Amino acid sequence: MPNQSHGETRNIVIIGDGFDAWLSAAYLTRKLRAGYDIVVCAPPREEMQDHCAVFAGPATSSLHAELAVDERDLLRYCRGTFSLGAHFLDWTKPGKDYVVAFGAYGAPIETIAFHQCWRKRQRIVKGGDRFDSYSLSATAARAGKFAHPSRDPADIRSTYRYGYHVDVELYTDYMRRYAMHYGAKKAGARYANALLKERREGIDAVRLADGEIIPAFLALDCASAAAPLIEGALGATWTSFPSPGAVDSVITFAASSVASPSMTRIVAAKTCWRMDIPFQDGARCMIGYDSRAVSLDALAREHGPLENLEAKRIVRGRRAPAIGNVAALGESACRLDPLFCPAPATLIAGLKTLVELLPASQSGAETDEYNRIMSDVFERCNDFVTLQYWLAEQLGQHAWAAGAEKALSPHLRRKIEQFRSRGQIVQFDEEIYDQEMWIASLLGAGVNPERYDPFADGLSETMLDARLAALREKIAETVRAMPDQMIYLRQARATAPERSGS
Amino acid sequence: MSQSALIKRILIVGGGTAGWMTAAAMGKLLAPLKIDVTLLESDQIGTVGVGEATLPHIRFFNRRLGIDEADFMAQTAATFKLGIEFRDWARKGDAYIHPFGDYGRDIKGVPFHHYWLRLRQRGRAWRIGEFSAPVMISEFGRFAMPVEDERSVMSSFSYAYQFDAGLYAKYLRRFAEACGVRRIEGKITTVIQRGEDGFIEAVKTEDGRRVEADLFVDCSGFRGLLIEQTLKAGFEDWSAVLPCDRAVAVPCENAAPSLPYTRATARGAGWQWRIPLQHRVGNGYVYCSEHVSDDEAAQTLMASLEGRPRAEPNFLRFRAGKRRRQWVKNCVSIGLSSGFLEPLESTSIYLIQASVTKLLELFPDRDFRACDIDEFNRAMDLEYERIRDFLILHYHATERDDTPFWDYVRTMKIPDSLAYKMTLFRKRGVVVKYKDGLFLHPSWIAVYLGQRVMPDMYDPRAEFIAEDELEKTLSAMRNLIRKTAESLPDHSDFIRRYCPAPGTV
Ligand SMILES: Cc1cc2nc3c(=O)[nH]c(=O)nc-3n(C[C@H](O)[C@H](O)[C@H](O)COP(=O)(O)OP(=O)(O)OC[C@H]3O[C@@H](n4cnc5c(N)ncnc54)[C@H](O)[C@@H]3O)c2cc1C
Repeated sequence: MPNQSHGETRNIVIIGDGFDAWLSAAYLTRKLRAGYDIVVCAPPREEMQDHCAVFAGPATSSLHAELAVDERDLLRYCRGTFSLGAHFLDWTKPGKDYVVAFGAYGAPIETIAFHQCWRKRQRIVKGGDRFDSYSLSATAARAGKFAHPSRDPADIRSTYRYGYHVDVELYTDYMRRYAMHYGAKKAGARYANALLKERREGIDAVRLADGEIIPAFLALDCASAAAPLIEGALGATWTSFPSPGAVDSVITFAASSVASPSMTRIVAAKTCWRMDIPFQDGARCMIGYDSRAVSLDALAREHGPLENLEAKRIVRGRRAPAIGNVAALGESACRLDPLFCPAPATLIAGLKTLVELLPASQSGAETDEYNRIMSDVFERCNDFVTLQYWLAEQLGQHAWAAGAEKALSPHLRRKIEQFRSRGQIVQFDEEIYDQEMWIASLLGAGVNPERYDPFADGLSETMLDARLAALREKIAETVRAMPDQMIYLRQARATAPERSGS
Repeated sequence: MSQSALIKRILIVGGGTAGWMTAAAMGKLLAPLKIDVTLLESDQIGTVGVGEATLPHIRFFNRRLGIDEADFMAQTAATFKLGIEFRDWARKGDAYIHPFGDYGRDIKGVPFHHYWLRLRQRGRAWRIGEFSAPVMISEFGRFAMPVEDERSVMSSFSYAYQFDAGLYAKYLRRFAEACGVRRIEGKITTVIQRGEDGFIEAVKTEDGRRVEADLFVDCSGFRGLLIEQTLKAGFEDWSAVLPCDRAVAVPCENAAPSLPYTRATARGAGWQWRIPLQHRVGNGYVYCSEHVSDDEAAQTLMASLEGRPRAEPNFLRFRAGKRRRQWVKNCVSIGLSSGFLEPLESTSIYLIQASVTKLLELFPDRDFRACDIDEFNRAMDLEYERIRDFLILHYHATERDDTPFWDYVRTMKIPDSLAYKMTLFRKRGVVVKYKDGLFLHPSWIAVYLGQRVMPDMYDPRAEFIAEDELEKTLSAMRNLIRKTAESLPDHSDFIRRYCPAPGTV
C-alpha cells in the first residue's frame, strides 16, 4: 500500500526567514504532528520584509484558534490590537467615509437580503442613514471598542468576526518562537541550492551553504520575491497582474496613533492613498503613490517628516503555485497590491489547501488540484483589491487610481455589473472575501444598484422603518455597553509594557 | 425595480410538473407584487408524468411555499426517500446506497472516509455504508425524522420524497389556483413575435384565443415550443457521454411494504428504476436504443415486475443535453424544455426548482436586461454541467464488459471536468470541492466507492491517531448507527401514522 509505513519521518523544508516562512512553519508543525519534521532554512540572501505592519482579517483569527495561539500573549508581544475592519475616508468623495467590517450588515427581513431592504428604504427616504450603521462590527470599530464575539447565535454579538493589527517583525518573531516550541527546527546554514528530480518535477533535497543535504518530502518556497526554489531551481515564470491604477510605489513609516484602535484607516489623498494600521502605542503607516507624478519631498510636505525613507516599488503578479513537491507560499507565489493587506489571507488559504493536498501520492494529482485552487484564490483576491482602486477611480476620480477600469478581470466585471444592476454579489468557487465585504465596499462607496429586489416591495414601509430603527438602536446600545479596546486589552492583560524611552 | 417597468403578466406554457411547480412558486411568492400569473396547458398533448423520485431540496421548496408536509405526502401517496440503491453497476452482484447524509464524522479536521480507508488497508472489511445512518435505516426499512441536535447520529442526514407524479401535478394545481394562478386550457398553434426585436408578444390557441404576457415561461416539455421552436436557443447534445435515449415505464402493485429508497438496477443497455409509493411501485427501464429494441426493453421490464402491472407500458424518447441558452429574450425555459438529464439521480425536479429559484432571484423587469439573462444562463449551465459529470461517473466507473453498451460507456472519453476529479480521488482519496452545484462531498464518496473507484491511498493525516484508538472509535460509531437504525419504526408504519394516503388504510 502506498501509505507510508510507521516510524519513517519526512522532512518539510521551508526556505525563508520572514512572515510567510514562520507562519507556515507554525501552522504545519501543529497540523502535521507525528511523521513530519519541519525544517526552516534561511534563504541565500537576507530578504527585505515588504510590509511593516499587517492588517489581518478573520482568516487569521480562525487560524489562531485552530492553533490554540494565546491571543492575549500574542498581542502583548506584538503590541497589536484586534481589528474589526477598515475605515475608508475620502475614498469616493471628500468628507465621505464608510467601514468595511468583518461581519454581518443587518439580517434578512422575511428572507429578503438586508441590503435590498435598506436600498428600498433609501429610495423612499432619499438617503439618510449610513449602511454601516447596521453593522455591529463597523459601529464598534468607529467607536474604538472591542469585545470577543458571542457564541450564542441568538445574541447580536455573534454577528461579527475579527482580525488583528500587528507589527510584522514582532509577529514573525512570535510565530518563530511558537513554531520552534512545537518542534520546528532551524537549519544550521542558509539554503544554497536544490537537488532536482528528473525532468525538474520537484526536488529530492536541498543543499545548505555548509554542504549539508536535507532530503525533502515537500519543500516550501517562502522566500518572498527572490523565490529561490520555485523560480531559481524550478524555473516557474512570472506573470504580472495588470496594474489597477497608477500607484507604483510605497513607503512605510511609524505614525502617531489613529482615532480608533479597532480598525485600519485608509484615506485617499490627492496624490496618494494612505493606510494607517493602529497598534497599542501608535500606528504604522503605508503610503501608496505614483512615483512618476509625485516626489517623496512632496509627500513629506503633506504627511510629515519622512526622513531616510526608502520607497519600494510595488510588484503585482504571480508564479505557478506549485511544481511537483515544491509549493510557493506567500509572496513567492503571489504578490498583490498592498492596499487592504490581502497577503495574510492568501497565505492562509495556501496553507489550508496544502495540508489537505500533501503530495503524498507522488502522482502529481495533488499538485494539479493545488494549482487549480490557488490560481483561483489569487485571482479572486486580486479582484477584491482591484475593486477598491476601481471605486477610487470611478467615484473619487483620483489620479493615482486612473486605469483601474482597464484592469478588471472578467469575473470582477461580472460582479460589478450584477451588483450595479440589482445589488447581488456573484460568488465564484474560491472566494476569500465574503459577500458582506463586497457589499460593504460597494454600498459604502456609494455604488447604488439601479434596482433592488422586487420582493422588497412586498414589505410594508412602516414595518421596514420600524425594523431598521430597532436594529440601529440595538446596535448602538450594544456598542455603548462594549469596552474601549484599550481597556479591554488591559483587562485581558494583553497590553505590552511601556516601551522604554518612548 | 427602477421599479417602474415591473412585469405585469406572466404566461406559463405547459401544465406538467415544471409548469405547475413554477405556477405554485410564482403564485405564492409574487402575490405581494400583484403580478398576473396564468398557466396554459393542453389536455390533448398531455404531460410526461413520470418524475416521481426527488432530492431533499424539495423540502426547502415546500417550506418556502408553506406546504404542510403530512398533508402533501398523503395527497400524493408519497413515501420517504433516504437515498438511491444502485445494483449491478460496477460489477454484477454489487449493491450500494447513495444516501442523503454523511459518512461518520470528521476526526481532527480530516474527512471520515480517510480513516475508513486506513482501516480497510489494514484488512478491516467494514462497508462504508455501515457508517451512514440513512444507509442503515434504509437497509432495515425503517424511518424517523432527522433531528437538529448535532451530537446525535440522527442529525447526519436529510430525506426526500417518492410520490405519484399525477397526484403531485394535481396537488400543485390546487395550490397554485388557490394562490390566484389562472389556468387556461388550449393548444397553442401560433407564437407571435414582436417585429422589432423578436420578443414573444403573444400565443394563439387552436380555438383562436390570443394570450399576451410580458414574460413567458416555457414549460412545454421536450418540444421547447417557445425556447427552441420559436426562439431557436439551440441544443447542446450530450448523448456521446450519456447515450441512453429512451425509456419504458409502467406502474405495478406493491408486493411488500414500501421501502424508504429508490432503486436503480443496471441492465444490459441501461438501467431500471423502482420507486416505491404508498399505493403502487413505479418502474421504468432507461435504455440506449442503439443497443436494445423497444420490445426487448419492454420485455425486460415486464419480466422483472414484482406485482401486477397497473397500466400499459409507456414509451418515452429523449436526448441528453441542454439548451445552449435557457433564457432567451423574454422567455425562460424550465423543466424538460430546458434540457434533459436522465433520472439516475432524480435531478430533474431539482433542476426545475433551481430554475424557478434563480428566476425569482434574477426576476426581470420589462427591459429584460442582458445582464439578468446572462447570469441566469451562467448559473444554470453550471448546474447542468456538474450534474452531467456526476451521472457520467456512474456509467464510466465500471468494470462491466458483458454487453456492448457497458463496453462503450466504460471506454468512452469523458469530460476533463470529470476526469481530473476521478484522478484525484483514485490517487489520493480527495473529493474536489466546488461552491455552486448539487452534489456534495458525501455523494461523490458514495458513488466513487460504490463504483469501485478505490483510492490508492488515504490522507497521510489519518495516520495521526493510533490504530487501536481508531478501531475503537469507528467500531463505536458503527455500533451506534446500527443500534439507532434498528430502534426506529418501520417505514411503512411511520407512513401509516404520519401521512396515510386516502384509501391506503
Ligand atoms: C423516463 C423519465 C423518468 C423520469 N424520472 C424522474 C424522477 O424520478 N425524478 C425527477 O425529478 N424527474 C424525473 N423525470 C423528469 C420529470 O418527469 C420532468 O422533469 C417533469 O415531469 C417535468 O416535465 P415538464 O413539465 O417539463 O414537461 P411535460 O410533463 O412534458 O409537460 C409539458 C406540458 O406542456 C404542454 N404543452 C406542450 N405543447 C403545448 C402546446 N402546443 N399548447 C399547449 N400546451 C402545450 C402540455 O400540455 C404539458 O402540460 C423523468 C423523466 C423521464 C423522461
